[in-house]
Amino acid sequence: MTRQWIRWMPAAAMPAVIAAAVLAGPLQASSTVDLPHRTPQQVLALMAGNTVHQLSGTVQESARLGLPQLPDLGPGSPGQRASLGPGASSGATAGGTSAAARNPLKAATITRLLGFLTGPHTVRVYLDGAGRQRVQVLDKLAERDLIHNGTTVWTYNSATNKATETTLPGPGMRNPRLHNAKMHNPKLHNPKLPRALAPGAFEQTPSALAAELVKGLDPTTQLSLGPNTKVAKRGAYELQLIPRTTKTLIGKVTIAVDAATGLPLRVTVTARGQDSAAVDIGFSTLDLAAPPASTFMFTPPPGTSVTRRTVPAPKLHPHAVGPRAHARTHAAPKVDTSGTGWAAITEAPAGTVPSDLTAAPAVARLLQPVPGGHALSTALFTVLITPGGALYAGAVPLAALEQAAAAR
Amino acid sequence: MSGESSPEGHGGGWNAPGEEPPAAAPYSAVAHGREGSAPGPVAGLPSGRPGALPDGRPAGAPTARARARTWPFLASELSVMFRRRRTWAMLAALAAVPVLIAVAVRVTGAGSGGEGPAFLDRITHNGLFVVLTALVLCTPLFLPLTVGVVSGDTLAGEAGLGTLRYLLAAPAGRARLLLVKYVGTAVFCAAATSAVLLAGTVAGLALFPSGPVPLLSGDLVDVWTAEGRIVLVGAYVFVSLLGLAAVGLFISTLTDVPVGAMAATVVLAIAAQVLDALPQLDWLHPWLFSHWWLGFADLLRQPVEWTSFGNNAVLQLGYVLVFGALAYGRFATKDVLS
Repeated sequence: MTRQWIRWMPAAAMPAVIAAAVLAGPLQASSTVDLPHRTPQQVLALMAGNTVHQLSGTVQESARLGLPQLPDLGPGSPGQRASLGPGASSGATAGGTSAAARNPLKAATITRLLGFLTGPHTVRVYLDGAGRQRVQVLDKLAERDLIHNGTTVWTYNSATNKATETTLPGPGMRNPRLHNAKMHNPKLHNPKLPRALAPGAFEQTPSALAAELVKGLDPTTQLSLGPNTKVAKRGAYELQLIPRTTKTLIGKVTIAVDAATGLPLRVTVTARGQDSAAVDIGFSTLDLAAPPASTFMFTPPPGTSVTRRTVPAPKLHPHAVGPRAHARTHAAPKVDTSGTGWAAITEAPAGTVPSDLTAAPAVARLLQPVPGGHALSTALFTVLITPGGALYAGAVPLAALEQAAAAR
Repeated sequence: MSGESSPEGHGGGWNAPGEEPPAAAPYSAVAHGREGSAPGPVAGLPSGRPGALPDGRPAGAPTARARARTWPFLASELSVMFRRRRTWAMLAALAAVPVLIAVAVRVTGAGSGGEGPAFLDRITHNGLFVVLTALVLCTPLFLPLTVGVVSGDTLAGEAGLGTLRYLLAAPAGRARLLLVKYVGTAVFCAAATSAVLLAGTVAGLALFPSGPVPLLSGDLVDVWTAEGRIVLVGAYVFVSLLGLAAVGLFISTLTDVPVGAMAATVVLAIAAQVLDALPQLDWLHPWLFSHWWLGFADLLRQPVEWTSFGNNAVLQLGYVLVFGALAYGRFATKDVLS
């Protein structure tokens, strides 16, 4: 009888051992991290003064916005291209920076963005100074690459086997204002880089997102420090940004700032009333040594269809990032803002939204018909498209947008 | 399972480890039946089976001697497995997958970019992509199918044929029999992966040009580096199958009907992948043994992304430990009547 019992012991012990091992991880992470005491303002200054020029790291991105998880809507998704029609795809892929800036509300741009917002992604980032970057979006059985080396920017998509080479203007033609800004404030994202080349990935590094989030810091935000954390095995301060207004959908934003360098390591955005983060972008591994030079060399493999183009002159466009700002950035041409701070509503006049957008199958799946038109409701932001093609967006409930639309 | 009230010395008691086994004769007779299609008389059987000593001398069970016999025991198990026509038929079917892909692409020409399974459109440029396309096709279905058949058959097959009690009559110990059966299944996993790898490499290089191979990141590597990456991918796929093999071994201890155990194992493999595809269950995904199956693509990036290899190995190890322990608990307390 006893022997029977003993023989089942391993079967009972193994799950216990595994459970203990699994639970030990978070316990270790939550153990206190000893860092010199700083005030929130000092951490902000530390973050603003970060001088990281070289790194290689892996960024994990996850978004739980309450959207249906779409099949990957990256630029390489062939079904996507077909379903949106020729007019829709031209803006984002062939038109480059100018087209994307002029009319960013092309369906392909939106759906590509949504692809990033609805699924988890792993992105490897390599950085060596301002002029050399490589971003690898690790898809399932495929990869999208962006290689920026000096005046040449390559994109490569292994799923479609297509590459694009873009030649940027030489250093002599650089906009001096831009150049200076970059020197003084070297961030992971390069303002000179055409945004159409970097489908979301580039802007969604924790650093770029964090820089964007603290840009508009004003008294409408309660700034505090959470308990110190560890991100990618580095001790970090955790800045907490809590909106003072209750009119916004955003409940809390946290930014983990590397204690040693001031580099933002992780950004989370939590919806009001939720416990777990709706958007979580952070480094899982980080190495501050210079990546090997070969990382930034690229030759398209044989059999790749290559598109080449040249960008005439650098041009500064607003780089608002993050759920709060996506719609605003893309509506850049003739936008109007009502409300302030976190509850701001961006309004774009009638005709901004092309009529083919709401008809595109991928977009139609996300939109829900409401009395005032079509709405996209997520945990963190809401977009309302009126039948006339006007667009209202903000990190506010749908009712607030409908109110704003009715007031017009 | 033996109830708590089951009296010792009855039923399962007689073949408890350390007791005197029956004479060699009945073992050989049944073992002959067990061989099924294997050619040759009883004399051709491997004599390494514990208890099957030629003189019929009851084999004692001192630990040292018993340990010394593990290797012949395993060799015997492997020779039985690889003399079955079923094993070779499954390996041949697996090897046919890359050959069929290569021939089909050669005859019809490549599809346009991005259609069909991953890597298919690269084959015309480089024959080594035949292996990768075949692995993308085999990993979710064909490989689990064959591993399910082999692992489900391990103990249930012996029980179904009535040979299990003769295996246990030897002082080998049930734990060692389980271990030998599991190692045998693992060897089959390696053989199955190698079959796809070898057939794919040969077919790809025979029908298509070779040369520098583009990785997923777009970087080119020479043929030998690429072949090294492909061997790594093979190792990844082999490791991926170990968890399923352990699950199959456990299911095999539950029943005396081998077909039931095989079917249940294969159904579990399919069910795990279905669950893995449901975004609503994303909290469960990292715990499914099939979760990292297609992660071998991470070995084809530049530089190699080792995270998924490590995660996969840890996950499969967890499955091996849990289901190995469950199989031991079940098998060591089981009344073996057939």
